[in-house]
Amino acid sequence: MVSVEQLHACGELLASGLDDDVVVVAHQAERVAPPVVGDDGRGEKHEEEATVLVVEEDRDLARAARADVEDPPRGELGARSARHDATVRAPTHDPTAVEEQSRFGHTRGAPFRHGGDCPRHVDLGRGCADATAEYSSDVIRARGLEKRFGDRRVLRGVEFDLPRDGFLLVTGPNGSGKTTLLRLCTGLAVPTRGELTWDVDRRRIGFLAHEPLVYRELTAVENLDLYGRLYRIAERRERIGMLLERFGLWDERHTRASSYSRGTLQRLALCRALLHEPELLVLDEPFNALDDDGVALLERELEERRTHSAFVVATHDPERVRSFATAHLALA
Amino acid sequence: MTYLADVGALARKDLTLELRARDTLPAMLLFVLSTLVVFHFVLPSDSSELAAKGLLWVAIVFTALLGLSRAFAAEREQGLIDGLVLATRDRSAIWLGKALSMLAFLALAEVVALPAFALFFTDVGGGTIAGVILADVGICAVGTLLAAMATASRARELLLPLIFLPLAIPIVIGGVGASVAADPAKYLAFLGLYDTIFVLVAWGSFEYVVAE
Repeated sequence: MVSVEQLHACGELLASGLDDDVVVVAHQAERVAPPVVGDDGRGEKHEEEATVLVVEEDRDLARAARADVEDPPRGELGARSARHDATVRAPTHDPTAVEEQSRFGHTRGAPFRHGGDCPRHVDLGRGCADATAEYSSDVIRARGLEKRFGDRRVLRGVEFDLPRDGFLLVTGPNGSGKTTLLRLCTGLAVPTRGELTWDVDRRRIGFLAHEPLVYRELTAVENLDLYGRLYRIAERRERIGMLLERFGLWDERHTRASSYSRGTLQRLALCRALLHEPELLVLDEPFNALDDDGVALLERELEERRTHSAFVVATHDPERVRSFATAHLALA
Repeated sequence: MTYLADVGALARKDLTLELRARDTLPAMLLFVLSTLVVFHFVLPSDSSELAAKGLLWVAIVFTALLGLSRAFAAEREQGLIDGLVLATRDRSAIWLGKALSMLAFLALAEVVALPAFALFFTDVGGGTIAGVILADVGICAVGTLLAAMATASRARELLLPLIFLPLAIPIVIGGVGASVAADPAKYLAFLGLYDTIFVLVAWGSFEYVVAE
């Protein structure tokens, strides 16, 4: 957990002479926002724990990004590595400022600035003009997301763009809103404020939730067959067989899920989430309950799908997927 | 056709689950039989046919309520409604599949209940049977929608009867009327109208019930 003092210190560090250098900002190890002074809805200002956004990028990529910023090659932008394409924005001191900004035009590529009421964001190397053209390639765009449950605010001022081959890593302590954010990304929850747009069919989203979302009284084959029918998968049986084989469930395919161990259920849940070749995979703690073989299997799947699927992954074990991640969103 | 395929897959899933778990239908059967037995001893021997038919409808409505309270049990306990919402092209297929499976359970309960009623009380005429069939459609259409609504609530066990029973009053009126009237046609037409309206309402509004 980052203390308020640390947050301030990082904020000071960022403020010192980095205004015009997006690339330098990009390859800093971590970015954190200072505590947010917000309105509690009754018109009283109060200091609250900030939603912390962390963006990571390695130096080589940052260097490449610098080149793009200096002389953005329009024709090559689309083919550039996905690792450059993630944009994550920190919360603003005034949530309405973010909404206004997204309504009246984006500020991507604008210099990183610290302090004042300006929204703080880190753009990992996309030029402003070309970024507009790339908007259509984003699977999800989030602007000023806020989610409340009654009086309790779970998320505030979350912004990101996720390109088709992007990988957004979401971390944070318990109760920080990771699962809520993931549910927002799937469309199962609706933001209280802000804008969330998808460029993907709802049925092309694969969702791995806390619960495996399988019927315990049905077997693995029956569960996958049900989802396969609903997703209208061509060659359903072959696809189910292939997934069961790949995830080591073939021998238990006719066993009811109620007798599965937690790890086996997680494998079945992964089969369900991957069954329809989703364009967007939203995974909540995907490594939970998996043994070493299961972890290796999942890592192989992630590696194979990196090029043709977008990912939003929430985990308490970010090191496992850090090599895949194109952006890191840390909630606090 | 693809919509009906979704409905068929979902209804078949519910029937398979019930066949294996057996946690709804046996309870409904036991409840309706024990209710009729209790009524048999409670009702004076010289009571009218009207009173007996009224009790039949009370038993049917409460038996249906028992089944409806379990309608989304698996989805609620395991969060499965999220998976179904993401997978179905038209979310109303979830409602229709569930309503059809509830209709099957209720019909099976009544296959046992009506002969039992004839045994304990009085003969069951054609008007009663037609009324029961039409009432079942309305009960399952409205009840499944309300069960889905109640599922999202913490006080779901309390909420479902509170919202279902007022909407079931027209069904009871139509059902009892069809059972005892010399000419049950107008009561059956009333039940048919109720079914048409509430099937359309439930079909059109289910999308918003499962959305947050």
